[in-house]
Amino acid sequence: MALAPRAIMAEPSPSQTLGPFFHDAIMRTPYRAQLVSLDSRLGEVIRIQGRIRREGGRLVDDALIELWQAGPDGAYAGTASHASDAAFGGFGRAASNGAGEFEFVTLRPGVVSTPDGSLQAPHVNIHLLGRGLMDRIATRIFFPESLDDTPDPVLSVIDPARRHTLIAEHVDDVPVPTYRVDLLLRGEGETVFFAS
Amino acid sequence: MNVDTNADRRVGEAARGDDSGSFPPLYDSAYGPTRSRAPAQRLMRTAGDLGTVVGPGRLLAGGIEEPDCDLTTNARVDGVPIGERVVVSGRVLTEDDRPVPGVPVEIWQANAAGRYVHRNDQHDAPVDPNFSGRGRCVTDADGIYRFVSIEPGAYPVPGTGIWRPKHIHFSVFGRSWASRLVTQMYFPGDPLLAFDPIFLSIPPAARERLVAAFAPDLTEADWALGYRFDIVVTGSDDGVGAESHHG
Repeated sequence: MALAPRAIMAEPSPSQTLGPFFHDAIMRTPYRAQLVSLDSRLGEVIRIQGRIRREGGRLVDDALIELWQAGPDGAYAGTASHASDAAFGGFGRAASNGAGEFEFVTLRPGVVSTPDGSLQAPHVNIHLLGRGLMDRIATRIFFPESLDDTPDPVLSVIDPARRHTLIAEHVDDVPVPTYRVDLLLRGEGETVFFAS
Repeated sequence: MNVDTNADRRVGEAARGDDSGSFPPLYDSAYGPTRSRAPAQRLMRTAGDLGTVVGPGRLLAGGIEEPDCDLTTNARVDGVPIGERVVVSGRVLTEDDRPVPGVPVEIWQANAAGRYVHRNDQHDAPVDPNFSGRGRCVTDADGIYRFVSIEPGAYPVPGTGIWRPKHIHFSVFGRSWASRLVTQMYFPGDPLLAFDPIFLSIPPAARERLVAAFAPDLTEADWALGYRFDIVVTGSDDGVGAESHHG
């Protein structure tokens, strides 16, 4: 689908840093890190545990992590294909703690079709914000098992040496399927971030 | 106005790509925390999918049962918050100059003395027991939001000698995921704007967009001064949410 060039009529508002004092304002119901209860029957419940670090491997204890994903059927809430009575929203917010760690409880997302008809491997979209970040930075996390079934068009154009930074690690021997992601803002082994 | 001493340190990309003259670069040596947090690798350009993925704005607005837009009343304990009452209002717009209705706008700020309600703010200024500094509302059918608050005081960043200008933090959702914006609103005529590294990290031509305009038409006689602050989020509405689900 080709989009006609659009005439820009309004200049975008610049971003500024989130700052360190956001918690009471931002972490309010219904915006939480737990998108579903652990015994939810809306789909397969999974946990995504993460850590966020900066240059030198130093932890980041004042970050805001926002997660946005499709549901188990591959539809985002708010799109035409999303069932209007679906109970799963797909948006979560977490603040990194004193150890730089965070955890989401959500449903395993389904495969998403893009407008050009290609399929995307199951993934969650991530925005990171915080002190020292002048704008949100965007990334996307994939699940290792599903990449064999659905090669992902976005992953395929990323430097093979860096792809692993976007693929969560499955954690063994826990009752709820759990994935671990290590986000590194800057330095060797830095996470891939997207201009968007 | 000022010699732009920022030009030599403003290197590298913005998060939205380096063809936008509107956004600050992620790395700014004058704003120290960026030095260990800004990605060093060039940001990936994908096929544009991130720009068309629908965002959670409408969904989140539906979860706000009651608007919480009057900061002069939403945290009262035993009195009225101290300071100058202000009305802050404006529209959320796309780059196509169209309103974005039905999306949340969240704000937070210091009190009139420049003190935040937050465990990590130990700045030597009084806490106002009747003020929390946070609010949220949903844009109406014309994309308009409106808050009533107290004008915040300037805030010294501990141990740096830097004072932040008076500001209100804004968190906004457009239609798409990529249009997500966190920014700060400043007040006209604030002398600290000429010294603030965070404000000065913005390309010069774009800075004024974050300075609110004193608005006589929003000012209410004997009650509150009015300020207008329009927020333009990136992207148009075209193509947003066009993806379908698989099987």
